[in-house]
Amino acid sequence: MSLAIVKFEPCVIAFAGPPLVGKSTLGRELSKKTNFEFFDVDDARWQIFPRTERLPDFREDLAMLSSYTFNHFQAAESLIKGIPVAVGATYSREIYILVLRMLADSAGVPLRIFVLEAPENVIEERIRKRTTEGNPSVVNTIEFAREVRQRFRPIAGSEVTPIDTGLSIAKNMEQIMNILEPLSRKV
Amino acid sequence: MSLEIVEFKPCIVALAGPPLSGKTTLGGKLSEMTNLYFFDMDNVRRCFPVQLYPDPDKERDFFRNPVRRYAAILTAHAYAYYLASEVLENGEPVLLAATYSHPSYLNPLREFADLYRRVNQPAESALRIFVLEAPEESLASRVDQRVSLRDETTVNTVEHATDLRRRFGPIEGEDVCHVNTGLSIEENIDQILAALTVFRKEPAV
Repeated sequence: MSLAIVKFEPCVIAFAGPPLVGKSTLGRELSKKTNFEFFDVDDARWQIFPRTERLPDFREDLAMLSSYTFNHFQAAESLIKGIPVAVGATYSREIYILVLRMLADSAGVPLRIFVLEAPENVIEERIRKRTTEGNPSVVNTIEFAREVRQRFRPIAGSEVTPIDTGLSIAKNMEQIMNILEPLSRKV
Repeated sequence: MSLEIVEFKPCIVALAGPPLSGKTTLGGKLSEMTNLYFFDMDNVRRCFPVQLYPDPDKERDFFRNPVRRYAAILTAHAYAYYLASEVLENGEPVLLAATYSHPSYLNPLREFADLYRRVNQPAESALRIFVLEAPEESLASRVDQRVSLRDETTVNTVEHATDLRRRFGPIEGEDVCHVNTGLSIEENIDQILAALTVFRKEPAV
């Protein structure tokens, strides 16, 4: 494989999907191999609400909405500089997708959404791994993961591509790079 | 006029309208007369935990970029709803004032009201939106007044105010009520309080 970094025109891509499907892993991998900058909603949340405990449901939902919009705000600064951006978050509600579309529309750049999915045994394995590594996800039991997954609303649209993260990262990256190829910078 | 405070059950009242339409004035008056907890977007956006907006004198350039404008405004709105959610959870009603210059900015507001309804199950929607409109001929005196008060506003010329009014998208819906702020503040308050009767607390017997 070539070591050269693949360059893309300014655009917005999103890695969506329930917890532990590998959004951050793929986002970071993409930012290593290309000129995409990756913005993780968990980092945005941490900056605005620097505490770990979960809020009551209603307030938690609005804390998340703030975190999504702030994550997009940070991505917007890179977009303005002409850098393509990738954002990672569950995108479990329609409103999150709406504000994501507004980001791409206001910049007049293309949007691609990758919806990540993994088989349940893979998710279970990831929960175990992260717990033994001492880096547990907020979603730390398979029951909790199932519950969040049930709440996840299917994202539809012509810009949406499903990705099976039960496969290897290399396979996933290949699929993503193929979809993004038309957006690459032509020399 | 009675000095008694008008008490409302938890509800979400929004004042929308272009700059200089009187949102802050009416909001301030309402928050004095009622138990509505007032969140003025001009203040909320400045108390965001991370710097979101530049210094006031640089704001106009900052906002010229539509990407930044959308992203910053949406973030400030979402954070206002987060702050308001805490007040609602404490059983108090909230009042929000923001320009809502484009109908898209209403999506997060309506989502906020939906979430509140889903979690706290009020029998009917707890949201009312008042769209304030000032007559065009009053703009010049409103601009003068602001400038003389040294109000840190980005809208300090009639041309700018007129331009923003022109860009203000229509806000419609069953929960929307139009208020002409060319009338007296007393008339505006009467109209708003009458429209909010359904949220009044039952008087203690």
